[in-house]
Amino acid sequence: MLKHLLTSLALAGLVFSSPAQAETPQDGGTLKVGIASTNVTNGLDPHVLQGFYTEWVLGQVGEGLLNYDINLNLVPWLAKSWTISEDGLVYTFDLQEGVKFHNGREMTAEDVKFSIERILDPNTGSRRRVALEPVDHVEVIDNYTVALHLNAPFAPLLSNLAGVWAAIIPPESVNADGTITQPIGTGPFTYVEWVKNDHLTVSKFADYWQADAPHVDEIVFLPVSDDAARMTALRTGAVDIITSVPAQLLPSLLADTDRGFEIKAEQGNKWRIAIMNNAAAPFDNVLVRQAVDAALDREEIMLARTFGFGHVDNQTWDKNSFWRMDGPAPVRDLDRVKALLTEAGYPDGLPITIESRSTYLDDAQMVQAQLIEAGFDAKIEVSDWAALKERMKAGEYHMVISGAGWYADPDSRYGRFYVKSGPANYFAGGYENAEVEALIAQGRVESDAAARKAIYQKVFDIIQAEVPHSMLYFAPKTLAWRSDVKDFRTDREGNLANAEGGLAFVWLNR
Amino acid sequence: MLKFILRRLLQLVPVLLILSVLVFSLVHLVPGDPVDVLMGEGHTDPVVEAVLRAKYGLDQPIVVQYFTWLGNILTGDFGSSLYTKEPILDMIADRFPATLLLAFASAIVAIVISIPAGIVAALYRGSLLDFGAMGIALFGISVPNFWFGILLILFFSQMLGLLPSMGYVPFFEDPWTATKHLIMPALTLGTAMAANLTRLVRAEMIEQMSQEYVRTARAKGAPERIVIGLHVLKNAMIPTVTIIGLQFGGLLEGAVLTETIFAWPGIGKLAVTAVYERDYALIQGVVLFAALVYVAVSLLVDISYRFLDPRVKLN
Repeated sequence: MLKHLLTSLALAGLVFSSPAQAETPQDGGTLKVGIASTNVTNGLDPHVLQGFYTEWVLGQVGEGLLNYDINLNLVPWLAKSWTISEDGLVYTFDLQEGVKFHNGREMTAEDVKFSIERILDPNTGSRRRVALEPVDHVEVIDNYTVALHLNAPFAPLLSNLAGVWAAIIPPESVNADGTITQPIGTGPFTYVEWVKNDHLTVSKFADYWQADAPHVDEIVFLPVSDDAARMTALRTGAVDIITSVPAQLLPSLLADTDRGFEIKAEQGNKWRIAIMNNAAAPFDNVLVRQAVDAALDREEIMLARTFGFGHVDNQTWDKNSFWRMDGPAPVRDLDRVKALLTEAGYPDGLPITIESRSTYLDDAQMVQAQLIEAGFDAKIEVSDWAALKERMKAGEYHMVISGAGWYADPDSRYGRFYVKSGPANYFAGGYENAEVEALIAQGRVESDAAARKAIYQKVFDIIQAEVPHSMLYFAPKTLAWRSDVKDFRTDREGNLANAEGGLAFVWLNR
Repeated sequence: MLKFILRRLLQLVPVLLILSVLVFSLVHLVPGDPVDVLMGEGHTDPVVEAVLRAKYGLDQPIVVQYFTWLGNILTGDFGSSLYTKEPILDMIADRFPATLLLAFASAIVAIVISIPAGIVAALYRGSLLDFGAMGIALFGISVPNFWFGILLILFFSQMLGLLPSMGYVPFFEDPWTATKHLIMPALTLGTAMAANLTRLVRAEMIEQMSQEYVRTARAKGAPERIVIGLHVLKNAMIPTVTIIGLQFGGLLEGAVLTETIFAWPGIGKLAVTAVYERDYALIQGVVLFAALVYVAVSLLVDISYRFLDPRVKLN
């Protein structure tokens, strides 16, 4: 009953407001965006940025060769088209002409070469260097044509070139010491200033290459990490848009037609994860990992943590995605847990320690309760992220509850997690499987999408059986904005720099 | 007096040196690697990590790292933040005015509430007034700061729409708007401080009122106004000023929860984020700065004794 009620409320959330009427956008005004974090960004260098808020904020300033549309499909952006050579080794991009940087200079193929080489240079410190690693060299063909030469076919290349972290920037925006403190890009807004833990301001770029954007004169991003303070800021107009509406408030807010602001609560892409240390006892035993997987009631965790606004799934690809994999959803089966633990040599239960940082403590407590019920003797330890990451990389833990995000290409999703040398392998508990690695290597060089999908289906089946980690649930994506903020649309990621939505297209009806 | 101040400043040198060793070792002993945090969640890249470690000197032996840092500080270079790339002194200088303003305003709130309340409670000891003042003080001590702050926001911003719920405006830029932004954070911090102070003022007043000199003054026929207002109050103020000084010094190091709720760009939040990010140079810079401020405030407190109690000699 409760579940039904919550599901219908969640559906009500999907049809959040009356369809936008064709109103003529007005220009001008200052848009204030309250970000649910103590910092609106982690830095100013698009190539070394980290964290999705940073991506949204700096995404107003910098842009990549490609972008995502509202359904998270890749679309041409600073590159208007491209061709891929027969052998998959040369990607030739035709650039948009007449695209201006914020310093007034036109973007050319030389800037693309500079930007990609900067990401590839380890001295830049880009966390995404590995995502472009197969690029051997960049060739400038003419002002508006550039070719990327690869040393091996690399199917995820295009999706790895999308978005602000692969932004095309002018060399003159880089300081002598290689840092960036005044970012310059081709985006709809020009960087003005950032005071850490306080505000970041961008202003309208009059020469933006896209027609009819942007509309507002200025955007101020403000960190408002406290839930109550953020809601109040929205109600009182101290901010116009907020990210992350606290889930516990959603039922009453959605029921209140008089609330005076719009809310969007829909399926999100951020998932919670129970990471098990595959390299050490007791979780080096696949039976114990399977026991954990069978001990979890994901629906219950999701309901308690998101009030029914999240969802449970066995993969990151949603039902409409091309990459959607086939496979049964995991179910709770306490008899099976008992059998698995007995077979693994723990008939009288198994003591384990669950670690988490405070952000995911509530999730950890739900997991703890369910594991105890299933015969584990689970206790919780809380630490901060820096300490936890160090221990995870060193393999000194049992289980960690954390969060993970969405990846556009299956190579980013599977290759990053399930290859021993992959950048997110520690999020898969140090999982290592030669067969999986061979399949992923095959998927990387396969250019036919259907054939690739068949390869990843095999990877998916192995992962589902071997359970390097357990996927718990997906948190909802929530946003709220004042009713005079018009044409505000985002994708499932909630990205404020989306090709079809985002802040460039927002206008204020004041 | 000048000699006293000079000597105190000289004493500062060894204090800061010892502190620098302590801060440095503590920061480096805490588990967690700055480069790991810099790479972000779900990301590792041994190639880039090695380059970054070398770039920030993190591959050097810890003793070498300490002396490099100390050497730079002696030339006035506190380093720059791993994240903003800004010089650390600039970052502190940016936030200190906000912290100072909030600390001053909170101290004023605390003094305005606690001294009259403490005096009244002491004078009418055992009366309803006393119980009332002490009850409120106990409540003030027990109530968590952040909860009181949120209640203020709900009442003054959301229900009445009188005060802005967040943000900071420099005082000299626009005193009126600045004051409106300041009221709620200052009340939040000031009332918490007032609760302790009220109890202290009351206790000190009662203590002084039972002293011989009070009986002497009264026997000489001095009016009660003089006995209490001049003699008792002045003596009761000595420990009170010490506590105000200490608490004020504490406020200057930032009040993280209050800063977070009201989105106040103070030193506290800067320090806490720096710890989570393992931004070593920034943590060290902020702690050293906070220590300097604390020492300066204690010096001012010591000097003020001279005026409150003529028997105190500054040497």
